[in-house]
Amino acid sequence: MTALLEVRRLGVTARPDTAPVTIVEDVSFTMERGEVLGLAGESGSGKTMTALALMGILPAQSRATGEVRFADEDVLKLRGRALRQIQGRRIAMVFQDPSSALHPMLTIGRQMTEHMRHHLGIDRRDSEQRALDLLDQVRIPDPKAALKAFPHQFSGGMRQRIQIAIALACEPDVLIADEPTTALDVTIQAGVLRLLDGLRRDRGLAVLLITHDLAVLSALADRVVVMYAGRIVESCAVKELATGNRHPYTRALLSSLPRPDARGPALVPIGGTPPSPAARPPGCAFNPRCDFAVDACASAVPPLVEIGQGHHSACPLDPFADGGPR
Amino acid sequence: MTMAILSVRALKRARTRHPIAVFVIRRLLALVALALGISLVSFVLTHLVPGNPAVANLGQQASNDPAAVHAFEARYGLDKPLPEQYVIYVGHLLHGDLGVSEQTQRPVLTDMVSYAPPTAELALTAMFIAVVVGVGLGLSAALRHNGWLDRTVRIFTLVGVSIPIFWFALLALYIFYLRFGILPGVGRLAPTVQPPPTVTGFATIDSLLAGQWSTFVDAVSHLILPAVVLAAPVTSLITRFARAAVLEVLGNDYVNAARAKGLPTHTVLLRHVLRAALSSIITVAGLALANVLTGTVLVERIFSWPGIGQYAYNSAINLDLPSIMGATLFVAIVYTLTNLVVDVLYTVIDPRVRLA
Repeated sequence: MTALLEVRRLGVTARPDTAPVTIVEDVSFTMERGEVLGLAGESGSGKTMTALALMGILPAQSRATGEVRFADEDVLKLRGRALRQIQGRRIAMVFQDPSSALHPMLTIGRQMTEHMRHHLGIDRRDSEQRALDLLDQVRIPDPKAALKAFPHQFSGGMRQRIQIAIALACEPDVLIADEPTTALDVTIQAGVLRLLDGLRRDRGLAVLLITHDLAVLSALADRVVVMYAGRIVESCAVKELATGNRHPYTRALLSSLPRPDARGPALVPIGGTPPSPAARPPGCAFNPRCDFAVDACASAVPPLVEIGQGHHSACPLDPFADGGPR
Repeated sequence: MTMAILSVRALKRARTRHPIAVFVIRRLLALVALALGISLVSFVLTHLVPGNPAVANLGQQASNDPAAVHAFEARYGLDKPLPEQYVIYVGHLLHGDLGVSEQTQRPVLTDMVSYAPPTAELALTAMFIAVVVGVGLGLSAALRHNGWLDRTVRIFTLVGVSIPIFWFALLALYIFYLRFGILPGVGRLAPTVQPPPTVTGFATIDSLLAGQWSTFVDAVSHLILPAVVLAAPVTSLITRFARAAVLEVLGNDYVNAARAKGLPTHTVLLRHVLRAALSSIITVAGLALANVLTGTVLVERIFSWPGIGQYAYNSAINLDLPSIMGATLFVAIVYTLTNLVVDVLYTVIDPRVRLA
């Protein structure tokens, strides 16, 4: 069975002609229908740029390399109309910041229906009816009034749900959700996650869930890809994440999570900050912050190798082989 | 008492139901006070200017005759103390009487009515050119941020805001009129062309209304040079502001979101990007209109355009005080009205803006 979406050796370079900076490098993963793939990592790890590349909307001064196979096409090579027939129609995206992702001067109704009318060829009345249903699905009270309202009249959480409704309007196959729950209250967060989970089960929607919140990931994702400094450092099934993780960065990320059961060590922050894309250290980019680094870590970029069924890691050391220092 | 409460209530209700109408009415009332203030300032300023109106108007021979000077001063009320002159002037002003021009011997208001349309035609054409070209160039430059087009546009706008308008006018006249003879040099219509019957006072529109096609072509060809010259500096201004505004808008996720919806490029650019940049563009367009109105004095003079600018120039060199006052008031009121229109447009464009 071929995957719904296959990313092969994706790279993103900013200003390739003048002062090239590699932002994303050698990222490969696949997504199946109905699957939720988590993309985790700190800010600046290249998650959002990966998403923009899949969506075909990289900033003007960056270039993508590699392949994004979707529906027998390479999205990265598509231009113009062919690309627009996938954007919003087959692959849709929810943006991170709900306060800037909706146009402040257009009504919610306009923003919900414009792409429906363009892609689905339905008239105003049908698209508005559909918008009402969608707003109801994401639990916006009084959808009728909401259609005539402007974004500033809604709270951040409501705007985020409106964004999700907009993304779902044309029934896409793939939803790229960039930190969809970060700006939300925990209760609303659960609602959004349930909604996505339902869509995945009922309609086979594939979700690329980008987040730094591993708790959200473990609630919804089937598999997890962990990125650091523009590269994948580990990918595995979500159930292996907590117990079978192999990469020190994944481990560090997990240790920095608050645990409601309050057992075990307190929160352990990861020392230092992620390197800027322009000044990534040689070798494994995590080595300056890694507790287990040896000299070899700084000399060559360790390849991502399969270490078990569907489990890849880019750390050759396996520092937790004996159970490791938890 | 009850009446007062009732009217307060009525006002509140009107405010919530027709906020824009209430806002406009309030601003128009303020405009009256403003016009009085402007008249005071310009009255004092014009009378502070050294020079004797009687000498300027009577000519060498007559101004040596004290009786003639006295008669002139008595006729225009110049022999009275300045505050009294102002009170008399305002009294007439409130009745719509701007006085009689010493130059044309016609009521200043009549002069205004005949000189305003040519200026309006020139200024509106210049504004149209400036907004269309400026927004187009600004948008294109921003979309190719730091590309060759952006850099070229930057050089042109720098030149545009730096060139003195009179020099540009002479250059344009030299190239297009003298050297190549592509466009007519001065005036509104060729001397041989019969002016169309006056309806709007715009030579272009009136000739179309009269169905005189050749007159229309002549009017347009006369309009091109002065309008382009007048538009040049403000086009540069609008280009720079539009570019900056669009660049700021492009950084927002809602532009990415519009692109991610797979909407056609023109929809993304016009409905999403330009719409968001429009408030800034309108602000600068309002400023640009002031710039254009000032520019008309020079441009109308150079191109012999029979408008308010040339009228103001002639009034100034002849110390024709009523006309100077009239032209000043006219320009000030146009400018204030422009500001009002800009403020109303803000609320139409941006739902977040509330009228105060």
